[in-house]
Amino acid sequence: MKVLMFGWEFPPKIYGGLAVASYGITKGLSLQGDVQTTFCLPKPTGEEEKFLNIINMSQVPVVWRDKNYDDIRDRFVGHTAVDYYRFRDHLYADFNYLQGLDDLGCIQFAGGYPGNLHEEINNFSIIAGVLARSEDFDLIHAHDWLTYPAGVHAKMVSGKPLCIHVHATDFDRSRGKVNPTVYGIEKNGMDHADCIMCVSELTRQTVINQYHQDPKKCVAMHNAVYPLSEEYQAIVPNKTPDEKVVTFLGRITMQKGPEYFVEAAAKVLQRTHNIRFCMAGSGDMMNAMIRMAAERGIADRFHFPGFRLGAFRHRSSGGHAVRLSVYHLQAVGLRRDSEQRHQSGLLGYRRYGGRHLQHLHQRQSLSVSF
Amino acid sequence: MKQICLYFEIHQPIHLKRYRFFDIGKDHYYYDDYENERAIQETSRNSYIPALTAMLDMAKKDEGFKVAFSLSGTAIEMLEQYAPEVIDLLQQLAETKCVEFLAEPYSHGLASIGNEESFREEVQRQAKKMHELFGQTPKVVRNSSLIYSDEIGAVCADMGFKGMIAEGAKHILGWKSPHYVYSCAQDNRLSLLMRDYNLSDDISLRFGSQPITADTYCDWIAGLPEGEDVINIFMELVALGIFQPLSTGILEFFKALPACARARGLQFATPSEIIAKHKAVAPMECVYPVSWNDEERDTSCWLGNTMQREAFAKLYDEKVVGRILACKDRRIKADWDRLQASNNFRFMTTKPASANLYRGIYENAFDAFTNYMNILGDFLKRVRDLFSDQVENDELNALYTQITNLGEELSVKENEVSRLRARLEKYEAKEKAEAAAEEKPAAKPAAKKPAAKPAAKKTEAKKK
Repeated sequence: MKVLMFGWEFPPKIYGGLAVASYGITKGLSLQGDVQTTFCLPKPTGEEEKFLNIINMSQVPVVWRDKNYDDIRDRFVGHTAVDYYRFRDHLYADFNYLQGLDDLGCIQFAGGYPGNLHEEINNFSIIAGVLARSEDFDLIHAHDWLTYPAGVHAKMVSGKPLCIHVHATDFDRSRGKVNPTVYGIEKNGMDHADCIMCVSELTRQTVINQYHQDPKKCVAMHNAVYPLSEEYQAIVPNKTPDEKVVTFLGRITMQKGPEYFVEAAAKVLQRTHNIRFCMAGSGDMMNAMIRMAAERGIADRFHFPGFRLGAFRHRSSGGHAVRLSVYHLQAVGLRRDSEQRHQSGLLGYRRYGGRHLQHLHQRQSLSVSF
Repeated sequence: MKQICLYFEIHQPIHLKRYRFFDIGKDHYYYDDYENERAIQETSRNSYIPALTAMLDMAKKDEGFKVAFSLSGTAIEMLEQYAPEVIDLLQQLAETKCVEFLAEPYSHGLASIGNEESFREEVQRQAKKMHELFGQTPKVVRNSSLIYSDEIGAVCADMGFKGMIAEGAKHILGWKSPHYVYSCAQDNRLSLLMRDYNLSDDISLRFGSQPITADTYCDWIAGLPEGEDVINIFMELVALGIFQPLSTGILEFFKALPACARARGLQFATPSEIIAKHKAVAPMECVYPVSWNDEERDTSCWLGNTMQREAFAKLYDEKVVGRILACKDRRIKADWDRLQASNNFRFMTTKPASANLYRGIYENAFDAFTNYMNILGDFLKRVRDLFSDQVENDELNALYTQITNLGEELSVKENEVSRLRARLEKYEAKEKAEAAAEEKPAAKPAAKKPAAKPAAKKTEAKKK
């Protein structure tokens, strides 16, 4: 079976959880043996693993340009110049009016999440039309709302079934105050999809209730877990005997509810003193959280070690990890949660009941209800 | 006769290093040695040494030039380590008798607002250091960045200082002129010298952009109304050479001042001389602290936002200060001095005026705060580990007094023991002599010895 997959991130260039999830699912499919994945990325680095075909959307032509093979042979990252000519044979409309076309007739992507994200999403779906005409595949798979329009377009062109993968909905990201444009894109994608894969039952319920989808086509498909690599397991926990460390791992952004962590820390520190809290990572709410910790008067026991380095070294300080989302704990963070579980206890807090803690080790998990 | 009072602050903060969360509990060294050495040597080379050399020349010429300095303890430590020639120059200046050294809190910190006990201790320590280095015991005090309020003034008066220098801030002076001597509103024994910020900033801030000649400057001073006889020009010493680079000709301006002043009948005087000569004309009310920083002239650049107040509250927590003052651990005391320096708080300011502020190694206020709190987290833990958390400061002090008293008692007893022992020896010697005289067998004195000792012990025990 051949899968045409649209994604926005892929390791080694990681912006958030989406990259890791995309890696996990494609790697899993490749191990099946009979599944061939073509993965479309806005801007690959060329250092991706080779078990799947990467298509560099920044180098797929949407406009015909006369190019000599010898001149452009070495310019491609991801797919090859041969692919380029195949794509060029399947142009379907005149896109010369587009801004930012390069000499190959391709649209450039900035990569990541730039300010003109909506424009990039639109461009992405334009290119998807070319791919849908030139590639041979049995199934379309689109990750998160950024690539839904591309998936829908490819389905329109090819008539092949569309499966969309809901890693998060805008209800989760905005705590219910959705961005209508984003909601519109998500709803359109779901309406056209033949199958909706949700990362948790909670997300599935959101899709059914907030996006009014047929429950029959929604399935909860939990992210899987890798055992800790030997490199990590080899680290000897370097505990300070008299102090415990509680770490928040994740982007410091609204979706993850960092302020609940600060409040919880303030409550704990009212009663006991031999605990340090550590908010690893960065994000748009970091400065607000620094101020908040200062306002609660716990800044001498509440620390901000910064991005990534903290996540790595936290293991060596051997404390508890808190990994959370306000709405769906295991949806976003399960992979790393479960890794953490190998070494340390895990705490989560929740606002809604449900099965979202089902994957966590019962004896070592603790949840704080608000 | 109008008198010009020149005063220069010499202070350099000890820069903290990038201290990570993972260092807490493991690394107790908080300083960026490279940056400290670089900063102090650059400052010395570009400012302190040329400025002080010029002043030494002026003082030796005997044109009536006088000047006052104060050094923060942290600056002295850095200078001693990295630029001892600056201390040498200051000592030579001290020998000319044209220079007065003022007292100030050792750490250049905010103890005056945070903790009175610690403030007193710091000022005394710094005054002692001034005496050691320059042979002068300061009679006039200045607080870090000229922070002053009635309460701080009263504390300083209580410590025996005759005068204090303060910012001539518009909002406390009102219609009054800074060119008189005032007294502290809570204690009139303390005279106040108010900084004339216009004339001071003409040199320290504006000299490069709006150059003036020494003639014009002295004309301005001479043109002040009759009776306004005290002109206080206070600034940081780095104004000569760093704020105003040497290329602006600031030193030439400065060297020309004594001659120009003399031509207009102006004198130079040190703060003590002014306080001795002029009586305070009125008390100066100042309920909230003023300082010489920023347009607001208050403490908002150190304590303006929640982060700064949180750091301040944690640093000057009563239990913490009590423990530090009570302890005898020199490293903790040294760290305490360095962490207090007001610059650490200044780095955390989020005031709009601070957009282009020099922030040392930090990217922004939040960075400065998180780094400082990491260090403080470690430091506070060390302090807490000194004594059990349950012990109150009072108990701690009581215990310490008890220990000191016991020590005194012991020394008294020891004196007694040695006195008795001396007497015993005398007695024995006498007995020996008698024995020798009577020519008895040599074994006898040896047998007598053990008998004499218990007797001596008994007397000791009785006296106890």
